Amino acid sequence: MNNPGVYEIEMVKNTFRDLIYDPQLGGGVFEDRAVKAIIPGGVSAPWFGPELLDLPLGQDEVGEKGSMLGSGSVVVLDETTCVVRAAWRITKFFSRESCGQCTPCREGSGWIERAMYRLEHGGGRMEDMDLLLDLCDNIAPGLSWPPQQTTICVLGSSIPSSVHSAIKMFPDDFKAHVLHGGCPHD
Amino acid sequence: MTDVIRTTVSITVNGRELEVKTGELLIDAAERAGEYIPRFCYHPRMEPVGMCRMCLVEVEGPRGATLQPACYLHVNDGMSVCTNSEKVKKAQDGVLEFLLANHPLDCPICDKGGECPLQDQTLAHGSGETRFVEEKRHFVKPIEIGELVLLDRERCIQCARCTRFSAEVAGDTEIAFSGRGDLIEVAPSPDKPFNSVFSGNTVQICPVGALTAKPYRFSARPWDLEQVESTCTTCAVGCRIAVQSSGNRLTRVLGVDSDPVNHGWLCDKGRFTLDSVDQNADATDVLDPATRMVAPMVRVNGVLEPVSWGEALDAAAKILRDASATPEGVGAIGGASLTNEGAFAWERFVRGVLGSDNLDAQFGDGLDPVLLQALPRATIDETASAKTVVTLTGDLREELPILFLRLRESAVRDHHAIVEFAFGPSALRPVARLSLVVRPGEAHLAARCIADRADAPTGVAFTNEELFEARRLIGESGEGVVFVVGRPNVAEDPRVLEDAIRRFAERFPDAKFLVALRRSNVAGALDMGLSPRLRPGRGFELTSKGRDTLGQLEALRRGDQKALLLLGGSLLGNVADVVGATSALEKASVIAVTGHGGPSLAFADVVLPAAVAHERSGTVTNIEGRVSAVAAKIVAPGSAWPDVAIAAELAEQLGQSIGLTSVEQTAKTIEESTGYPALSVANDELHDGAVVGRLDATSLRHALDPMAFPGIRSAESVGLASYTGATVETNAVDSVHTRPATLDVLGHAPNLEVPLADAYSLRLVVSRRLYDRGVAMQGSPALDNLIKATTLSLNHVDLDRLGVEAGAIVRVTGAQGSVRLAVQLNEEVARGSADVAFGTLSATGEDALAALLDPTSVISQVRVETR
Ligand code: SF4
Ligand code: SF4
Ligand code: SF4
Ligand code: FES
Repeated sequence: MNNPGVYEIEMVKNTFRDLIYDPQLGGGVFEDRAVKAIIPGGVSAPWFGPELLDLPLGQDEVGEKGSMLGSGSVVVLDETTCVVRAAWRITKFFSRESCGQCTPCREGSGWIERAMYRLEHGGGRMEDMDLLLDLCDNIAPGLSWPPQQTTICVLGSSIPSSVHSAIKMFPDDFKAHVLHGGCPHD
Repeated sequence: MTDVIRTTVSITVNGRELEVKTGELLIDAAERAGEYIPRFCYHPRMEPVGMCRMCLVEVEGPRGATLQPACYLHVNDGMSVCTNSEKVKKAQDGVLEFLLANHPLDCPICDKGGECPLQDQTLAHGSGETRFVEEKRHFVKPIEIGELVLLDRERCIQCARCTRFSAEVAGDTEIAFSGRGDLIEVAPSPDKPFNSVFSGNTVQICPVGALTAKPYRFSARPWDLEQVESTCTTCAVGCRIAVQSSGNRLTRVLGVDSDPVNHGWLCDKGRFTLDSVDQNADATDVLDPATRMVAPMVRVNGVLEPVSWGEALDAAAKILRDASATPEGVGAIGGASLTNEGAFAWERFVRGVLGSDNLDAQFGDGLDPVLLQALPRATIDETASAKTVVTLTGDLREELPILFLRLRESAVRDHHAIVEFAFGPSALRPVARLSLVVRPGEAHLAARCIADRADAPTGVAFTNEELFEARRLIGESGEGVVFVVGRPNVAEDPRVLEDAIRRFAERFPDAKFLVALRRSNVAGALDMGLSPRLRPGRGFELTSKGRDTLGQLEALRRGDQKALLLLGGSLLGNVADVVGATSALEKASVIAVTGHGGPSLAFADVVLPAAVAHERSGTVTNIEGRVSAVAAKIVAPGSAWPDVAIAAELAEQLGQSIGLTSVEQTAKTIEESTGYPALSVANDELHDGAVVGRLDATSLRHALDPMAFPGIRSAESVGLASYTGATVETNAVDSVHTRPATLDVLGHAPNLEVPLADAYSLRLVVSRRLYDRGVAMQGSPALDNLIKATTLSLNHVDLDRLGVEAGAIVRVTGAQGSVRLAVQLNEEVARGSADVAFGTLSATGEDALAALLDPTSVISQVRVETR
């Protein structure tokens, strides 16, 4: 973003586009790059594509589209972003945050993190996408929104959001990582 | 309209309507209805934590069916549950796969292999192939976290059973989780090794091979093991156990969940003492308690030589015949380690064949058995559920460990009040509502003050505030109060405690008593009449002039008694006055009937080898009077016989008969002649036994924790139906011999003169340690090095007064000599008194008690010199 920061704006009255492009607010994407994806409300939230830029910033509106405003921290991934790396880093955060009490979160976050690391750094396999989706499903059954959970707390059900979104929205990026034997952006 | 309290609710499980107990956990309710829900972290004797997520099931709710942990959910009326849907299966399989992700491929070298729930469930549900291609998590392979337990963190599935057991059940702090995420690990405390006396329980309840017990590691494979259910006789709690063997070698003891007794737990001494039974048959030093007696022996030219049974019985008969020329010339000491049947046989032998009333199963370290019989008795359950428990005992964790666990739970979970007569250090102190400090020679004074609402006399350790609080907690009539009574200090005249007990019994008619005598089957031996004034089946005969243990030792020294039959070889290890006992044995002709060696055998003229625990069947009786079965799992070494056979043959040799031919027929005779439920218990597989004299002996068999017997006994094979025990009653024949004693037969309480303590002396407390120099410890290599040297424990006030530092070596002088001991600071020792352990030696190998005990006085006093 040109103006990353904390903004207080009225709910529902503004859209994602307002937030990102209004000169008083985000001021547009750095170097005028195109928006690739938006994480609407913190890294626990499923991602949106640019087609939802005109969605109002309201709880219900975002909820209806299958994500949440959550913490209100909107992350914009531009066209140069590697979504595999982004999802990996988010997973790594969760893996470190896991308190380790319950199995799906403790083991699931670590497993997914390691598989994502492998994809990003070479060693990815085509079947990893199905594997990752299934591991996500074993933490948040059905991968629906709002999520169901096999874990004790919602940290667990937050883990799949980024990986699931990335694979569903950008399968070709994953394939490219496999074929390229690592991150093509490097 | 009266409110009806519903004790059941209806729920639906897999479309089936069930009536289940209000408020119980779904996992239990479903299991009783035959729907077993897989689990790892749930344990029926601990609070659920919902951590492993293996028990996820679908529960209907306002937002449709959601996955919820069955171990963490209490049933509600109308609850609808599905345990076998595709969604449930997928969730459970997912959890299993996650658990295996980082799990090492150790099965072939893992102790748990063959009885591992993780292995079993993987075989049953797992995919057979791993999707986990990443590097597994690595830890240094097993680390020793205590003397008996090793931890392999790679195998740990973080179920928190071990840490919960330690914190919740045992109250120990030596192990806890550290770290987070997938690097979370069970970690031993940095400054305190995991040497809890309950450590073995964590190994038993660990659902995987992460925790292993040093004595069992790599020693057997579960599929080679056979097991029988039996009763632990290492102390008098009488925990139910499964005894496992491979061939004729004992391999392992596991706790069985007996609802009225041990809840599945065992102490480490009971669990790991099995080597003392089957590992020392080749040893030859008869003075070593570890050595098994495998052949009869007769002393020839001063040396014990192995002989045939015929020769040995002949020699024994000769000694007894010669000595019983005068009617009081013979007697027997011991018998607490026998079965009820063995004790009954020897009682018949001594009274019927030798015509003597000189017999005693206690070693002068117990209490007046007629008084104990006269007390209204409480069961362990009644004690654990009493609103107030008053303990007049030593440290129960050291004396009767599982009773300690039950009382601790009652205080911590149910908030019942424990009023402790604090004679010295005690593990119950942190959970006791009141600790009334009493020095040696003061317990009866405190009891009188409580009973008579009197003020504390000057000079005692307890205060008026403590007396007031004790009275308040005991109440007017003692309703709902249980007194736990034992022998906290072997250096104190037993009449001090007996006087206190009597006061309480007379003053609080509604109170009950749990008799906490700690040695093995001492309760059964007394019930079988092994005491001068007792008769089999809880009868008594007050006119008896028979001698108890101390009386016999005295008579032997005087020369009035010539011969002594030792039932069990451990007299010298168990009497307080070793000096006096040794000079008695020097003068006596001694026949020792024993399975183990011991210092007493230095004086034996004949040794008759006996079968010991796990080699003999029959019944035993625990502290609460519960009769339960013991089983023979292996064959006794060499030519050792069961006691019933030895007593019967010795009688034959003397040309008489005790009318007993086998253990079973003995049990039958006991039951027919006294009503004591020996045969019903032995035959009926009464899992939890039966309490003597109780009409309400029905007991519910608690669902076994299937993980306690992984692979060997699953919930399915054991069955979860409730179990109803037999109803038993002693024959209330109205004759002086079989009517149980009451308080009024006891006559006047004696007047006790407690000597005044002089300002330079400390009153001696000789207290018990679980890890003492007894057979159970010394005979088991795993336990032997856990025995600690005796120290002199003092309060800081006395330390300061004497001007010594903790750790200093001092010379302690008592009535019979002096001994050098290291000083230890312990604030739980009352000011003006000093605590020394019974049955252990000083760091330099000296027997402190032999020097410090004053057998002629009500209390013993010692002086400490710093140079
Ligand atoms: S704990 Fe069970 S699954 Fe793990 S290595 Fe041991 S036997 Fe195998
Ligand atoms: S060591 Fe065993 S009991 Fe303890 S948390 Fe690990 S798996 Fe559970
Ligand atoms: S408490 Fe007593 S009966 Fe129970 S295991 Fe320990 S020694 Fe055996
Ligand atoms: S979460 Fe229920 S058994 Fe572990």
